Amino acid sequence: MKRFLLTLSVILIALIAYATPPNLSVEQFFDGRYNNDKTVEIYIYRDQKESYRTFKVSNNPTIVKQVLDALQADSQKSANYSERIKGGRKNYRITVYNNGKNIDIGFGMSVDGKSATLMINGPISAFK
Amino acid sequence: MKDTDHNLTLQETEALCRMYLDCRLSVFEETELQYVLLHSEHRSPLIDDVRTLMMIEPSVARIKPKSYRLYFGIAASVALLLGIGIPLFINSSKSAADSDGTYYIAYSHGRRLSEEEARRQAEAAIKESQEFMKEMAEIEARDKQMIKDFTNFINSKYHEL
Repeated sequence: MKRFLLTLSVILIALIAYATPPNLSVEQFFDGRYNNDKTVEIYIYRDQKESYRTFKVSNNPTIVKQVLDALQADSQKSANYSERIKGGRKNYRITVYNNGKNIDIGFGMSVDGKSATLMINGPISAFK
Repeated sequence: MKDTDHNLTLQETEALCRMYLDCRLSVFEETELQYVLLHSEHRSPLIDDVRTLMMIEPSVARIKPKSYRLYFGIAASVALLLGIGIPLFINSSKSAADSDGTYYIAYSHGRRLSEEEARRQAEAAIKESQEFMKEMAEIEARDKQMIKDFTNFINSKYHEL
């Protein structure tokens, strides 16, 4: 009986851990706080299967820095990280694995660091 | 008696209860006393005893459920309003939500875009995003292949030596 309960507990804990949302730092940019910012563009598409979110910053190095910091925080959770610097423009792509699915996070930053684009794509189940 | 029953004092009610216990009330008067005790809020050991004998719940006990019912009604109404209101509020914030659960939201330079504009811009952003991810994935694959080729080259040179 004890063994059964122990096994059951382990399975439940594993299930809970498996179904934990990834709580990505970069998701904060879509919580509405930047909706009225004139230096920002936000595009969100979602259907029952997948989600695409884009956050564009123009001429606002402060927000660009915040996005970069959030991306670096999320890179700790990533299964894959790649960085490409070409002509001064920096591009990053990280992949976070959650609930058996991949979440792709892309980030492109201008040479002067004043403008950037953040993209988060993935199946809905990966965010749950 | 029915016209004045709500004005009976505690003493008058008790006097009637005493008469009831002494079997000095007619059947008709007992019925009227029953009516009085049913609606009166007076309480005393004597009155409560008579209520028990008449199998009537004490008035306070009858009032409380009414207040509980009232509070329960208010709480249920609030819960219902929240239950309906919150999803409606959330859904209203998700503009352009189609019947199949698809929705587009777009803000540009501090302004919320119209449904059609949001759809167009979001679709362009999706395309851009997919191209970005594809390009980065190709670069990653190329870099991995280069590292693999280089490692193989080094290994082959090592074996030649």
